[in-house]
Amino acid sequence: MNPAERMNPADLGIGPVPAKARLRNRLLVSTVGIAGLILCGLLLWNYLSFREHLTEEAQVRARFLADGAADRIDATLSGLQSLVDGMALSLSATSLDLTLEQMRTLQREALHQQPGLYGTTFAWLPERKPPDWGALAPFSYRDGDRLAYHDLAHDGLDYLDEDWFALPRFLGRAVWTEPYIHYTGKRMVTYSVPVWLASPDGPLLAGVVTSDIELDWLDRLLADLPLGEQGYALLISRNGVYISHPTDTIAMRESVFSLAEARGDPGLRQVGQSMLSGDPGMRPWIGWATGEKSWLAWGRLSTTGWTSAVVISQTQLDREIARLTQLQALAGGGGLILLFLAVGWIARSITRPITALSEAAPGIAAGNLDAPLPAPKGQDEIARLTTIFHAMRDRLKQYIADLEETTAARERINGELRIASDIQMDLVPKTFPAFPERNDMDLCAIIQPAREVGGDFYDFMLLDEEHVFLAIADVSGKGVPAALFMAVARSLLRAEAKIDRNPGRMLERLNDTLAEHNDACMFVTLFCAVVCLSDGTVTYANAGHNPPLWLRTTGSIEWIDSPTGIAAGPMAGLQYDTGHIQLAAGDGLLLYTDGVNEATDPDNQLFGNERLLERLHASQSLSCRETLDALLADILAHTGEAEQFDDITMMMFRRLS
Amino acid sequence: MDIFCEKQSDALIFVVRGRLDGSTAPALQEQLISQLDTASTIIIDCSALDYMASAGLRVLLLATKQCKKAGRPFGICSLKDEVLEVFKLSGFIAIIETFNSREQALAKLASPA
Amino acid sequence: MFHANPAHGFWVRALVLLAGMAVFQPCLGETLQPQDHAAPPAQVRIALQWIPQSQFAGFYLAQQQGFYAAAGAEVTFVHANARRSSLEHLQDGEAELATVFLTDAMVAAAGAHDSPNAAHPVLIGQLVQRSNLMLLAWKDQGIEHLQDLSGHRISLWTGPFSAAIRTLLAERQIEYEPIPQNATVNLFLHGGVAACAAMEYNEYHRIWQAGVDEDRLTGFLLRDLGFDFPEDGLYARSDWLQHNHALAQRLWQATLAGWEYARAHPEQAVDLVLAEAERARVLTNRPHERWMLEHLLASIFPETAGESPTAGRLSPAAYTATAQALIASGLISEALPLTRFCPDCCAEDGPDEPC
Repeated sequence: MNPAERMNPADLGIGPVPAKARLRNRLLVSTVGIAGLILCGLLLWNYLSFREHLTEEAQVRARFLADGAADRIDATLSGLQSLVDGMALSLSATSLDLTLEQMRTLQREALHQQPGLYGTTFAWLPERKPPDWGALAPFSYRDGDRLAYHDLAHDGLDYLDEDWFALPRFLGRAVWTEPYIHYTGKRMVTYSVPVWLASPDGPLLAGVVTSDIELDWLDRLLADLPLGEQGYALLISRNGVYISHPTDTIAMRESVFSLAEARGDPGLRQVGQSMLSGDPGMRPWIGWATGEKSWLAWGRLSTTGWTSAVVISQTQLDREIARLTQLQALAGGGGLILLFLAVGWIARSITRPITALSEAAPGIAAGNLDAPLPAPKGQDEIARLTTIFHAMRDRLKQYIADLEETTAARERINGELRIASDIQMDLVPKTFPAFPERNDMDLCAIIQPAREVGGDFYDFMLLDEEHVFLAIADVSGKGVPAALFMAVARSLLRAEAKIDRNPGRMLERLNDTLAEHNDACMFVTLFCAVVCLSDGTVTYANAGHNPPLWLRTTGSIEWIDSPTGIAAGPMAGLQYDTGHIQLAAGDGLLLYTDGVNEATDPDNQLFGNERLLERLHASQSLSCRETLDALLADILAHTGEAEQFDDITMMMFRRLS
Repeated sequence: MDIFCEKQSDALIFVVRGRLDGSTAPALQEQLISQLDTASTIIIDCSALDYMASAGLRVLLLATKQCKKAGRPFGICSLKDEVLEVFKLSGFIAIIETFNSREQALAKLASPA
Repeated sequence: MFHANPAHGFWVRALVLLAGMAVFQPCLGETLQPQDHAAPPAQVRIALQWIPQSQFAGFYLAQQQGFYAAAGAEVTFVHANARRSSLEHLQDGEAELATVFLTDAMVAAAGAHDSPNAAHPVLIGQLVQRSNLMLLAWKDQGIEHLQDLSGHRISLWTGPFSAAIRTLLAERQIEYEPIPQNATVNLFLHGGVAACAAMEYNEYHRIWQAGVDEDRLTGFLLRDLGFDFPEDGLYARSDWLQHNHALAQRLWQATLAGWEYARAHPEQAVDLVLAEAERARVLTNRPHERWMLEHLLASIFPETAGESPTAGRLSPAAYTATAQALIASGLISEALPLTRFCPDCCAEDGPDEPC
């Protein structure tokens, strides 16, 4: 293929690959896209399950911390409680048979033992006081580092109206008072236990033992609870009053209910009632200070009946989860970028040879077999494809080279055949008028060879002054073998015609000679005649050839179709009869091969005998040459563009006077 | 041109369809010559043969000669008029046995009369 | 907007009051002492019945807003407590003026019935016109009606404070076990008593603020049961009053002006009360003080005021009714005539029967 035949790849309709369709981009988009989707799904799932889990945990923690706080406060208070219970019991057991001094010693001992104790009292119901006691309500307490003493009844009997005395007195049981603010400014609570004396009428109240306990340590204890940034703890009394609260102005002044009232929030009041009900509980909550979604959990102190509660921020938890999720998303995003790069790199390494191949292939498709192809790398499918592509290109090159060679060879053969054809044409006499010196006959012949060398020939010669020899033949097959066979047949025929003027015997001898060494079974149809010019006698013989036409001056045209024999060549020993006719002056003979009547038009319609006869009828006054020219023109008009596979060979003879 | 081979009671029947000319004759020749020895009787069914050129005649002639040499019956049958005309014209109708129908050919050739 | 609303037209009201003082003083038979800038202001101590709370909002405001100063006095407050009542402060000369429950004052004054020269509390002006006293009882202890209280423990303040309740229970012939009630309601909250005495403006709300809903309680308002005795009034000792009648009247008008101010500016009043409470280490909260103020104002300025302004005036009929209840409960044998208990009550309106 020469370079001029190469095409521009664009002319093949092969454009560059659009960015969207490029393998690498598709690989990138699909891989990273799917990974991104999975990542998003994972993050969402993670976030949701995390939130659920943490929320659950926050609730558990809130409950745990509320109970824990209650337990820790109880642990401290119950120590003091049992001390006072013990004092009351022992006082009761000894029927209060002790002096004021002994009582004060006992109180000092208690204060020594219990650092958490601020003070302790034994207050008589006035009418039970033994006369030898110099005080109604001896009170020992701490004054800084030292212990102090005071008779609470020093200024009168007002203590009888205090809750710490009145409550156990009228309730008949030990009581934790509502917390109060001591004159020292400290929050305190008093635990009071009635002391009973046996009497015939049943136990009689003798007085009350109390212990005063500072509460400021509660704040520290609650502050130490691990509640998170926005979490806080609180403690409320039996009456709902805040004992400890992160907001100073609330503690000891406000109760859950006063706040509910101030806020006009009946829901809060209900919460307060639940918290004071004695049962531990939990509920969603909006933090007051922060306005954040939280969890409120509470538990009850078994000693004082107070309620400890913790608030744990759900919003903060959510923020932490969101932060965590953000971190994960960030890490995921980083991973995604890494994946993007990695996939990009892998895709590039995969598609680079493909891209190179796809860029090189159009050149090959366009005919540029020398266009560089990428070298195969590695052992993967693409390397294999590239190798195959290489092989294909090489094979294509080889094939084209072979094709060129074959074509050259064929051209050569064709050239040689043309030469053979030329030689063949040279064999037949082509100079007309053939016998210009003679006016007793008109003779003309035409051979129109087909593209492929055929085996038609005609021949004529003057045997002597009076006899002319005419022959037309058609050798079976085409090409060089036919041409050779034709040459042989013609030479033999000429030779035979000179030896014996009887056409039948001529053909018998010709046949015998041809049949020798004719394994290929080639044959020739042949008509030959010897015309006596002086009297018009024609002797002839036919070896399987088309019967010639006898064009009589009367206007009739007859087929000379008998006798006829078998085509010459296939087997020896055939008989050929010789026929006779008498030509009048002006009568003519038309000898032709089947290339004439079997000439086909593009629709495969034969030229046929009808048309042949019609033309001949119309051309009676014309010379042989004019007749053949007209006939040939008719035939060519009939065939048109259709290629003819047979030679068109015609010879016309007319006897003139 | 298409060639089909059929076996029918010891006879190998070649059904030739289309045009038998210089370009297609070699194919028929190759098939015929290579399979001549595979059957006792060879028949060529020309019922679908539209055209026969001299090259085709030559192949049939060749086959006839070979079969004759091997003493194997050979014939052609069901020729269309145009093809039969070629046979008559070339005179080969005297050399190659022709039959009007396949049945006739089988009856004459396959049964050892 | 501010001036358009007469309810908030404090200054208008204050000016009218001051003008009224100027107009009325001569009629009271005393020489008007115009603000004598040379004379030092009189030192006056006012004993208030209880620890700082909204019950005294008008007093604090009168002082804060300078009404007392305008009246020519430098006032200091003495807060009573459970140990020492305002009446005791007054009687012992520890205060020139005191706020006292009508019943308390009547019981104290009754002692002077037979000795015309004995010093006794004299009513200068009646602040709280109606009774806020009530009995609160636990429904879950089976108390739905007064009769259900039979056989139960009831905590009551000692002294004349609870006189109306005692009278009521005696009238209904309800046998009960009285328990002395202290300053708290904790014994009631602990369930130690079936019922307790309560002021509607104070204890009732304290109990509610301890989380106890109304539907758990049965409340008996004394004023609905025929014992609508007036409560807080401003008193002086008769001997002091003889020489300071004009000053007392001025201070009373200033006190009323303070209450008018509280009525017009309730939040400011509560702010001031909370500040006073904080200073006295009294633990309270705003909603409670607001509740108390609302009820006090409703008691001082009754809605039924109508044509004859009753604010500041003790109705002779109420006095008579209270006296009868006190006699019936055995707290007094005879009440001091109103002319002695409250000479000014008769001076203005005159024709009422007890005068």
